[in-house]
Amino acid sequence: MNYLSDEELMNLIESVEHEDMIQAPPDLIGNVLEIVDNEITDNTDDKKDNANSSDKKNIRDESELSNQKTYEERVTEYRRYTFRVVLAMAASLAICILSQVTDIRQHLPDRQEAVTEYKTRQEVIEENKTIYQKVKEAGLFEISENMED
Amino acid sequence: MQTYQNLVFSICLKMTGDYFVSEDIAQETFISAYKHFEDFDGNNEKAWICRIATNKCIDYLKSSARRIIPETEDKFMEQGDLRSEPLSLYLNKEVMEVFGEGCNTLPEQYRKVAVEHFIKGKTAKVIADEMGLNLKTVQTRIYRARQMLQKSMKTEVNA
Repeated sequence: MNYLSDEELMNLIESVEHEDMIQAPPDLIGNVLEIVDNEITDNTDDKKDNANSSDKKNIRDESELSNQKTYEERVTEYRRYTFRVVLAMAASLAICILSQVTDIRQHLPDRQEAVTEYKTRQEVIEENKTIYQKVKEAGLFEISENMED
Repeated sequence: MQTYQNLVFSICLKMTGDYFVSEDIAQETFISAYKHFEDFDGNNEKAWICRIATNKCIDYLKSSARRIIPETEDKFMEQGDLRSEPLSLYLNKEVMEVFGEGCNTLPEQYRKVAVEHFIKGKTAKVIADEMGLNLKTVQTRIYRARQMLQKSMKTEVNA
């Protein structure tokens, strides 16, 4: 089934016009006009939407451009940032060095020294015994018993 | 469009033999003509519009032939032969007679509206005025009558 040739088409038109013409449905034109009208409205709406979106884009672009900094401003900002980083590094180095220097100046005892600083258990017992003897010899226990009575 | 609507619809009906399919194709023809009016060389308007209509009808016939699933291999071969056959044309008056019979089989409330609208070509407003009915009621009846007729036509074709 191929498309009609020009001759076949003209014969068909002629035969329909002369013998077999039928009235079209009454709402044919109305439906076509309605569809075309809707398409035109849709296209107009699409164009409006596109125009609105391009306007918004332009506004956004302009704001982006205004937000863009000049070369000099960006260089200055970079220098400030570099200075802050260097300063932070110098400060951390200074803290490390100072802590080392104070360690050297202040004598911190090593473990053996630290251990020998504390009294052993036996020494504490002996010391307590000595104090007890002294108190006993002085008669302080008897005085306290009399006071309780 | 008003000049060629009867011609285009008649050609479609002659080629497809289906009232509602012809209506759809005629609508598509005018919409397509509107969309591609820039391509028109300005020589023969009637032939140009009728060319669009016939091409759309042939596309429809090809696609509807593809939609029929052959049951056996022999039928598949027959179908292939049918596709290569020259176009068979219907007689519009016969088609409309069958369509009118279809309208007369509709239930009472839809029958008169269908005949007045589809056969006599009256608009819903004219029918509403003549019958003293609400326009919406007539439009609804036309819509339902169309649905019933489409269904009955399909059943007849399948049978």
